Amino acid sequence: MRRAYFGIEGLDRNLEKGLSYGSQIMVEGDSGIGKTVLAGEFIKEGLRCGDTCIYVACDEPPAIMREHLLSFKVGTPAYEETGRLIFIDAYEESSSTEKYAFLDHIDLEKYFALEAEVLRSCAGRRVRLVVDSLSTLFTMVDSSDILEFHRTRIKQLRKNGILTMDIFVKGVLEPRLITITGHLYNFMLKMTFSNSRSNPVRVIQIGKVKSQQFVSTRHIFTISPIYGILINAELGVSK
Amino acid sequence: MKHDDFSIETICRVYFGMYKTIDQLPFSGRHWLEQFMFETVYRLLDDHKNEYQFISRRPADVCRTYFDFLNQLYPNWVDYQLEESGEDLLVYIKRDNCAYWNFCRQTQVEGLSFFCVRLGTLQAALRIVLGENYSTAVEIDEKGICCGKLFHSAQPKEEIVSREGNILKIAGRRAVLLPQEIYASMMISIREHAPHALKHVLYDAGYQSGLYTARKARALYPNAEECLRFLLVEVMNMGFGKTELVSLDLSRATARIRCYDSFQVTVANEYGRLYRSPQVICDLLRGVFAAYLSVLLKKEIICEEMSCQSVEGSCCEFLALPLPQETGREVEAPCLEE
Repeated sequence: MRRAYFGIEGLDRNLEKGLSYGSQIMVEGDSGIGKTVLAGEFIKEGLRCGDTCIYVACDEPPAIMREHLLSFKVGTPAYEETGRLIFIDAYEESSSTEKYAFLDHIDLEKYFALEAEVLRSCAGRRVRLVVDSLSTLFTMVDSSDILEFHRTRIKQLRKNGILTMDIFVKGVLEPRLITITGHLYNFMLKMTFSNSRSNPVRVIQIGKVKSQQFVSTRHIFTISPIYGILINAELGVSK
Repeated sequence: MKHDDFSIETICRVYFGMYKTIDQLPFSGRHWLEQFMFETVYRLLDDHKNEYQFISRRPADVCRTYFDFLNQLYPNWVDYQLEESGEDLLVYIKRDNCAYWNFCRQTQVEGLSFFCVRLGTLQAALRIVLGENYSTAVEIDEKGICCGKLFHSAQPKEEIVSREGNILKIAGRRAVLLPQEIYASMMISIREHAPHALKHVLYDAGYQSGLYTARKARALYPNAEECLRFLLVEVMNMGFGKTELVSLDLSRATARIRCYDSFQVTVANEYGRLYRSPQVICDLLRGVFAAYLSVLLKKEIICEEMSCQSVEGSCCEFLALPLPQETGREVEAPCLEE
């Protein structure tokens, strides 16, 4: 069976057998840490592997991700023309010029319907879905609604074999909600700045939630304008 | 002088053998066919110099005089119509009346380079009589008429790959032939020490080398489509693989190109994959095509490999489109001047 990778050598080394399609990845990170860059790497890898990639832009207009991918010499026009790269605009609301736009940020059901519609248009293909960031979609919604929506959605995505990356900005949602939500994912990536104020270092942890604990390997990483995320060093396993 | 079926068949066999041989020679192509036509026409005109007179120096008249001379030498040898369209010459020949039709059909069946003998001889006559260089292009319409075009070309044709003494050159720049082992070992070494750099190194290498070749070819072939076809033959001559132009839309600046038996696919099959997952791997070619089209279409083009023979299928397919700009305008190709 075909397996997937992030497209970042230092992280992929941790995934001996890769990710199976239908897996869900939760990315939680500090603001400005490079979550969107990570999403870009994940999409780049998907496009090269023949996957159809769907990017839901919630925090910035889709044009930002287009430019980001183009800056890495990814020919977005070719992929968009052939329907291999699809953007859902959940940022611009009524002024969006995208084919797919999510207009009502309070109604998660409408989002669910739009996501399902786009996924149906990709039936029969290997699909990667990135929501950047899901926490933004959740900001105006009650916790109970979030959990109900989330369980249903994840179940559906798993059933349909969609490889999903949901991004959460740290501090936007309550920690309790994040913890409960985290249990629904196969993999978790936490991206944080280290404590040193004078020389902040970017750290990424990749792992799984096992028996209420996040078991992960920690890596220092940097962001290169040419190569994207570069994993510099492994800091060992932490719990 | 009479011509009969036997002599026509013999001439066609000779041409066929020559086209086939040229296709098998490394670094060869259309240039050598043009050279062959030049020598043949030169010899013919020289041997019969008292039997024709090029009175007018107008290119159309030179062509008519040359064909009339052939018809005088071999009755009913060429049945043609000739028109002027600005500085271009348009030549119409009924396919069924052309002595070379069977030969042309055979070259197409065998997948050999297409080069019209009739137009080739006119091209040679123009060069001999006027000292001017012309390029040729042919389209065959549905009614079975070959529509040939002869258009002015600024420079004499030459091979992109050339040898000057012991120096090998591609597009006038020094070049070197490498066996695949050297290429493979370089790639394996980059994968070992800087796996993140692989795709970028290959794309940029392809793009930079493609710029030189495309600039050189552009000077030889002013017509963008003809130039692209010429460059795609050069890609094959350089050993990258057999290319096919599936479509070229000049108004939208888009192109779809296929490559069969890509060099990079062979290396991956023999020396192992460069990446963890099965994926498109021909970034060198992607860069080469992007550079070619950026020079020919005078705007920055980005090219993607949409499917790769290393993953599935019988070929790699590339799709090239203009690089969009933030404002929606397309970006003009930067730094493309020499």
